[in-house]
Amino acid sequence: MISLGPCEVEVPGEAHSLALIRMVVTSLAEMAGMDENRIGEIELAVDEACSNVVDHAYSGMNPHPSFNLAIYVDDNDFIIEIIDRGKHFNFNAHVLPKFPDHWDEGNVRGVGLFLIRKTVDQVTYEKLPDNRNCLKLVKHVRK
Amino acid sequence: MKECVIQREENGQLDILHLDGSLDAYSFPRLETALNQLRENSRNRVVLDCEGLDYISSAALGALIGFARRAREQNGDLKLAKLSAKIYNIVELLGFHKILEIHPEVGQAVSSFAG
Repeated sequence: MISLGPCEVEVPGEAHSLALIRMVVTSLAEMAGMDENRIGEIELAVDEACSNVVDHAYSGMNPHPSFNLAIYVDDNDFIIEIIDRGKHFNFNAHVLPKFPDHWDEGNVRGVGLFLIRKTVDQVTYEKLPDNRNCLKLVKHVRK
Repeated sequence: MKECVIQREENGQLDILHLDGSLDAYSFPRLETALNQLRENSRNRVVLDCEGLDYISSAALGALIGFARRAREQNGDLKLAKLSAKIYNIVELLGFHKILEIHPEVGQAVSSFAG
């Protein structure tokens, strides 16, 4: 039986934080007993989510605020909350791209949320009372 | 977790870029710079050796699509070789395997330009 967390991390709101975040996430996912494929998927989802914070939520902010991660692991689920201090995003209005049409139309970006939805079992996004935003990802430890 | 090191190997009319490390939103501009330099020198036939690549984000893959599209307009292309199962999974999720040629070995990717 495993129960871990919350493991809380605060990182600079810059792209150079991404490697450290992936290292923390993959280490905890390994400890949780996730297989290689599932570790790769949660790594991708978290990296894309944090890239969106840096590129979009913090766009136009100088300097970028930090953001926080809180990770919880039990026998069933790997849960990660990504809490930022940037612009709120209309999560429900976002239209997911279709592939390969998205690329054929000349786009080269805009697929992060698609990848997040595709690789985790549950995703929610909410504005917190203190005006921060929380993206919560849940991935089952096993299929 | 190391940042991406890119080594260029000139092979006649084409270039092989050997990737080692991770390509994320922080490090992919390095790949973009390498690809832009090739394009500025009219070198539009590129093979990416992904054997040492341990992570790639959607932003980096987008840069590859952009280069491949422009290279094809000049009778060139960008092809991928030696993808790990993890990298192939990301490529497949985004439908890249339907757009970019993927080869198990670098030599096969190189030979395919001759055809």
